[in-house]
Amino acid sequence: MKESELKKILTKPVMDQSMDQRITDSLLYHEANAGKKNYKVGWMRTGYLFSQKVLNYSISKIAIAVFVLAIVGVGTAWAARSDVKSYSTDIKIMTEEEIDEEELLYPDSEKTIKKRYGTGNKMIGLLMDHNGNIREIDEDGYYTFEDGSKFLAPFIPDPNRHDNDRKSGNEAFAEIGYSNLIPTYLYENYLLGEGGFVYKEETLSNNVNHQYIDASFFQDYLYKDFTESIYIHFTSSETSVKDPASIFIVDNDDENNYIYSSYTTKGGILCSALEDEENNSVMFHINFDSETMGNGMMSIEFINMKMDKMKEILDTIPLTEDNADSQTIE
Amino acid sequence: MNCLISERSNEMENVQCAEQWISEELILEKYSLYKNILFQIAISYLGNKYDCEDVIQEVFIRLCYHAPEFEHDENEKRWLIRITINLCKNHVKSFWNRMKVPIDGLEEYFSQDEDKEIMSDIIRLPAKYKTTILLHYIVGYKISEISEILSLTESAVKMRLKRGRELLRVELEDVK
Repeated sequence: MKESELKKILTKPVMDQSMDQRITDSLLYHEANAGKKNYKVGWMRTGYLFSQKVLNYSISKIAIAVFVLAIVGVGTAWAARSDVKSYSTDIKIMTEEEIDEEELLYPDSEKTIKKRYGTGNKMIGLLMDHNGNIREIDEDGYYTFEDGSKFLAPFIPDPNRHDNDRKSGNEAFAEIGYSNLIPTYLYENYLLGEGGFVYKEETLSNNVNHQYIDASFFQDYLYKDFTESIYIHFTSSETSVKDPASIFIVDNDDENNYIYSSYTTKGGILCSALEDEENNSVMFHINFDSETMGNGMMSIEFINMKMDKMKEILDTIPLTEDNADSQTIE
Repeated sequence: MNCLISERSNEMENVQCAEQWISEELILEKYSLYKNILFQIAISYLGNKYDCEDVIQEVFIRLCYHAPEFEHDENEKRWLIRITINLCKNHVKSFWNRMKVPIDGLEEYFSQDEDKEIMSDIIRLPAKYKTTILLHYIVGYKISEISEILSLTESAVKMRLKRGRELLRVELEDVK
């Protein structure tokens, strides 16, 4: 390929009119409200900015194959002696070329249902001090400066946003018959991503029903280049997830360095961890069985966060392991 | 007027500035000027227009509320490009996002399979090579300018461009 052809391809995509209009509207919307001092906008939960968007949480064949392998591969029922049992997970890094899709027995998806809960949170810019710290807004919606002067904030966060996020989580997990499994620390200190909880149900060609929930959380009040963020993926399973505890991460960059470790929460839940130093990202994976709560696999990925904070968050996962002997620590 | 929130030296200037946000006309002017170039950069990282929309919207909201004062338009353009790249990189950092096939919707922009394949290769290119490729071929920056933007030596930029071209199997042309 010639350089001119590369340039032609790179510069070919042009923003379509509908996207252009949505972005323009959102910018004007921000602008209009920024000028109205008595206009309370805060954390919009109306979905105004996103109502016209097509859902974009499509999952790749590869990702699906990972979980299909994990779920379909189990045939034996498991008799639980204690309520929750967690297992270690073998996390493998593979390139796309290394993955043999035939071997993964990927069945085609016949039917997909997708629902969202709690959409519309929008990160907004708030006033900072000299050190780049976000200034607090009091209950009346004012910033207070060092000299005692006050300034009405153009945006006032919704005081109910954390409760709303928790309720949305309850609804999303109830959709698959589970209790809310999101670490409670996140509801108290972070904000649900604007896409909300994404519930997805797929009926595969082999009649296996596959249900999962995606959610992301971000730092509350912050709006910086490198914010902390947390991505959660939960997959339910009708059968035990003890044996096929293996997931694949697709990474085609052979220069990345990964570190494997594990952490056991204060509640006794074993979390297998994979750290990607290059991207300042750590993914914890939890496989658990429970007769009362159901079986499932949960991935919690932390980006730009300290290990102490990650552990503090993991400790608030509402799962408690009673029988430590059930864990298979490598 | 550009609005600076985080780096003012005087608290009252913050207040003043917050009251006079960047004007509606100016933000739309900037948006019209840079939207396509930023979209082309974003789609080369993200591969679908929906994520691009989120990123570009966020970039311009940041311009409204968090941009420093720019001495020249070129500085502003570089700031916008840098923020766009940073946001795209943040997005694709996630393991989960990496597991997605990031080429949904490329058909909309590329009717020929060959072009779509090339774009898919560009999306899969490691970020350090891709950034230099995009700055050079989309924005048209020279090696010296890219080295300023990325705080790299010119030889490092040359190497990254060379490696990026090799991975994409691009032949150099004698451009005069």
